[in-house]
Amino acid sequence: MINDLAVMIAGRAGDGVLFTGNLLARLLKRHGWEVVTSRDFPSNIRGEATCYTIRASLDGIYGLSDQVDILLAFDCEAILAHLPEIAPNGIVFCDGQGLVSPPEQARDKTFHRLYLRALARERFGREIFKNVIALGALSYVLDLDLSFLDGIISEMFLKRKGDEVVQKNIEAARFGYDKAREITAEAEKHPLTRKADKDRILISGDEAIGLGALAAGCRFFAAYPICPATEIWQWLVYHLPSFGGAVVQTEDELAALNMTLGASFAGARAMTATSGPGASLMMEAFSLAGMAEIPAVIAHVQRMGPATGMPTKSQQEDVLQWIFGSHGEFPRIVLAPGTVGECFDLTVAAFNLAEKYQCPVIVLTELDMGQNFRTARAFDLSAVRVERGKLLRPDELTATSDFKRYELTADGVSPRALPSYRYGVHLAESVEHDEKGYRDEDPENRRRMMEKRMRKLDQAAPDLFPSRKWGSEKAEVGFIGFGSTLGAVLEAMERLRREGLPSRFLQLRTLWPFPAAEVRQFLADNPETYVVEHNYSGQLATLIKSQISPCAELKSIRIYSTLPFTPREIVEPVLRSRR
Amino acid sequence: MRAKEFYHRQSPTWCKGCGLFGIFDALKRAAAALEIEPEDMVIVTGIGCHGRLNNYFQAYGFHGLHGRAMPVAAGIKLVNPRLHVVAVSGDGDAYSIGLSHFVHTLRKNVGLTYLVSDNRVYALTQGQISPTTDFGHVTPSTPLGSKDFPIDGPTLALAAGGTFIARGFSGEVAPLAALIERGMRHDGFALIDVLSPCVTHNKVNSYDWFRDHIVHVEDIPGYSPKDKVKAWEALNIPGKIAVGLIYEEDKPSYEELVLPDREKPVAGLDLAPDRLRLRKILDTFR
Repeated sequence: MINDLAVMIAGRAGDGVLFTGNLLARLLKRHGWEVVTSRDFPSNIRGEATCYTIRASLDGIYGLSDQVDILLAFDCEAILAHLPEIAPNGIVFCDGQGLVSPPEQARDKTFHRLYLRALARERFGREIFKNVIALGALSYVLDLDLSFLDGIISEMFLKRKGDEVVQKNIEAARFGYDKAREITAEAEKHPLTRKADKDRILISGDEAIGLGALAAGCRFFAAYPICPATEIWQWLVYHLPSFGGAVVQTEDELAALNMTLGASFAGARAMTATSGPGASLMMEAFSLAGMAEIPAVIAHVQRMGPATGMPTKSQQEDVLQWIFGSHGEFPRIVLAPGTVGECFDLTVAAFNLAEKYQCPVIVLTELDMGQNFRTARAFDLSAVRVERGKLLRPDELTATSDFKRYELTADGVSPRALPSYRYGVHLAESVEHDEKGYRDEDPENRRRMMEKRMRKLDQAAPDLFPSRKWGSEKAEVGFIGFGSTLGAVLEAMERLRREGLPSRFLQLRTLWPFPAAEVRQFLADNPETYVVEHNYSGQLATLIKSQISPCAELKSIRIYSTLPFTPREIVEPVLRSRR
Repeated sequence: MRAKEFYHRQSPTWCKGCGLFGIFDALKRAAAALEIEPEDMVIVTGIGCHGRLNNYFQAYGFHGLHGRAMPVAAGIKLVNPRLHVVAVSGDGDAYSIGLSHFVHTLRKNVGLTYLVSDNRVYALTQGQISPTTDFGHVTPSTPLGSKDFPIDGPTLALAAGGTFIARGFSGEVAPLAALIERGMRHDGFALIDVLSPCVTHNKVNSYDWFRDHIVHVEDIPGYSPKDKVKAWEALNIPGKIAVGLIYEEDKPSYEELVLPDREKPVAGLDLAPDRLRLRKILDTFR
């Protein structure tokens, strides 16, 4: 029986690779497996090579492996492109009409022709059935329960297309199952161990952020379309209106964040989401949120830059931009979820933090986290709290209140009133201002106001997500990282353990305010520490060195290629340095 | 009707004779005529001499970034349509750095009143050319005369699908107040471009100069603000500047189109998590 598996579906954009992959991921999840998906897509709609990898395991996993056990390819080029990744006992199904015999390199692998398109056309009249036929075939090879596939097909099509389409697809799935049985030897099968699918979900990071926002009371969302953050919007647009809220497509990201601030100033919990160049445009209003002390949540799903870069590839290049970026100095909070569960939890927290500290809060993820699907325990809705900080109720103010929106307080946070409150009339001001919000250029006022704003986060540490510690207490090697590199690091640690090298990982979940005490302690406990990050210049390492002084020597593992980290990319440099 | 002093928070420190005094006065008169409570009014300003208005006018205010008054004002209006949201900009704010926001907010027909104080120069930064400066105009940044051809806000608004397009003159406060009042009653986006002389940095486009060049549309025989062709003609009279209510039409406002319920402002919703409904949504991911 198999307990760990990677399946790749490859073809060209437009082949239905995404559809097939998504359904297979859910099918594996229903069999009790933990699932992580990865899409490697070009940024166009049709024509270019695409592939979708599903990593599945009985144990908790968070990332990809280095190898592929089963490749289902919709064309020959896909086979040639991915042959090096196929495991030695791997199995390949190919719909290639062009290849006469298996390519030379495929000799030690099981190679089967599965003429998906032709079969779909002949049997069902339309090529589109090739994807469900493929799923049926994979169900045979993996020894899956066909009734689970029937169930998923029905969920997918019943409401939108009706029973006839469901029945035809179920028939196609069975047809594929039987076809695979005809061509596959019993010994070539990869029968999966099954487990109960209890209280689990399969969700993308973007969807988890959307759901977190909805649960946290976000009722206004303004954004400009950009890959790979748009899925947050496209999820929220189906849910916000039924909760009384609104979603607006703005003319650009300048407007998106300014509109978010307007909505927040007027009392709504508001959010925007962006990536790459959109984040650069938001830098201007980011500073306004800091100065006028307006709560705002910005989700940034990082993609590869600079400039337009590679919009469909993941990266961690925009960390320092949010921590040190924009003009002037102001407090901000930067959170970095490493799992889909944390995407939900940190987004909920982001709204509470934004209101408690009256400052912008960034939820920083990456394309790999945002667009790919991962299994998780169903989110804990009972833990969701809506805490609005020092937002006053209208009846808390009277004619004699002498309300000061920017009142100098011990913790730096001032009471907040909303337009429509009779005794809360005030000015939200981007110019330096006095306690009431009116323009004030007095040097002493400037000093007081600057200190007031900056001290808001001095005592915030207990409210922020602590770093998560993984691995052995006693370790020879430590890793520090954040975000979706988590999966590759954990898997690398397991491999190192098997090599006799115990290691540990400090997963930062709050990047700013910087968790200096945790990092300092972690560094002190390890003989050597590697900072793992998906960028060229080592932004996290730079951040650590800037915040901890004196700082132990930091080793660095960085990739800046187009695919997310694999465990090998972490294991190899560690072992190499010890040889 | 209320006394306009009700909205007077502080006396302005603009240059003596600045056109903004007329706008400030007209806005107070309009608010008084509509008997708006200061807490139900939000004035959103951009950056420029006009931006001080928030310090002088008694109402909620948001003094944001240069050119970005529109999206801020739209955000406020959309989450609380009961508020009277008046945005105020200068010609640089509205027609240069914020041009895209102006056109798109107008196109969406968000229920805002937008006063653009047009003095044809950048006054706060000492007199450089603005998008409405005349060709050939000599300024510190254009010693040989401006080589840029000017644009006109109301003409742009007409082309972009504006539903209330007006132009007033700071030198004629009563009609300006009437235009603002009417604009604030309009269900949708109301542009009121205001010819507003800068007495310090623009010695050409003075009060007298504007008086010599304006044409009141109500003086044009057979004029109707419902007639787009007539509006276009009025905006294109050679050597003249049309003032008054230039164009008006009924079109659903953005609030009406995108908000689930205008009577239940987004800003006033109970945010306590509805766990039952959230659970059902969560279950779709199983």
